[in-house]
Amino acid sequence: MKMRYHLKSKPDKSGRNKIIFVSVLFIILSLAGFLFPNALRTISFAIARPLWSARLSLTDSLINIKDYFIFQNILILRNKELENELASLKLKEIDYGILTLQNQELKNLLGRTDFLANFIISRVLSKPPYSSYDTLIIDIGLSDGVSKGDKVYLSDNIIIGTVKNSTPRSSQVELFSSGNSKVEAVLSRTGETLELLGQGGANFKVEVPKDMDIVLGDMFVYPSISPAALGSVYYIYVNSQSSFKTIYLRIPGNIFSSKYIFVESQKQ
Amino acid sequence: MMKLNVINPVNVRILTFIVALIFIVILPWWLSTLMLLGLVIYFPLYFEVLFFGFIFDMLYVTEIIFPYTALTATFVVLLAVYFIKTQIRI
Repeated sequence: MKMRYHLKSKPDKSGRNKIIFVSVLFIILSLAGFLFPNALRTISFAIARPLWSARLSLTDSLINIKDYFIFQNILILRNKELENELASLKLKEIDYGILTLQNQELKNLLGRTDFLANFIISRVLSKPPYSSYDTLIIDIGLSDGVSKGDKVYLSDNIIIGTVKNSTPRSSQVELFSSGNSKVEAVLSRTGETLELLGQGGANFKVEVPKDMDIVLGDMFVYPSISPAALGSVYYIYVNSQSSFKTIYLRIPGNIFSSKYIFVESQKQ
Repeated sequence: MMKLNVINPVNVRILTFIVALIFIVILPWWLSTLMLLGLVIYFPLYFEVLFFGFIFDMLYVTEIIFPYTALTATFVVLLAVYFIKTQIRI
């Protein structure tokens, strides 16, 4: 007798095998990351470092190209503006030098000499939005005297984060402002200590009682013998139904456009 | 005479892997994410995406604790896209 119906096809096992393969690969990678984090990080950095350097040199040259197509009168105007700005900054630099000297002399009188920091300049290889999680990758590492926990500065007096991991030639910096990280800070005007909550993108927030004395532009500093600026208040949200107000702060200076940062090495 | 078949699927995937690796390192993370999503949709079971997630975690995550964010995200997206693809055969 002839069959007039299709045979039930065999169950397709290839789909299940593929899922098993992907799951096994996921487990292997997870275990590898857990067992050899430093070695794998070093390998990843070794692969990425030349690419980051190539991108930086390429973007630098591309940015310079557009400067060739600027009108002469715009350049003259800009030059004059910059000359004026430079003159005023030179005066400020003299004031700053005098104040720094006075500050050092006072600390010497008090017997505090541990403030003499050992700063190492470094090039930023990757920063947000190229990297995620509010991290920076810099081009100095263990071989340059950088180690985990070293403080990272945007300038002499603006602190931005700490070194979290170091490979021989690169380091990973976590910004204080990275999501949900907490950092203690002192309100420089009143001396009150508060815990700032990182919001990502160089922003912080903190909830304080409504009657607390904080105004726009107030500066928060990192508590240390040489206090460094951590953030300035740019917005205050007050809700009439709440007994608290939310203070929003931002790191002074633009982290995401800076090419160089400074690492305060703990090694002498 | 033996002909060298350059455009076979394996070679294409190897080339794509190299190019994608370069782009992942040099592009902003959100562009890399979009690119990887495109690759996962285009290729049948693009398991290489797990390596990219892993490299991403190694490069940018400061504390390696399970579940690794990018690796887990790529794993979930890869499986989700695979299931959707098997359900809607074009």
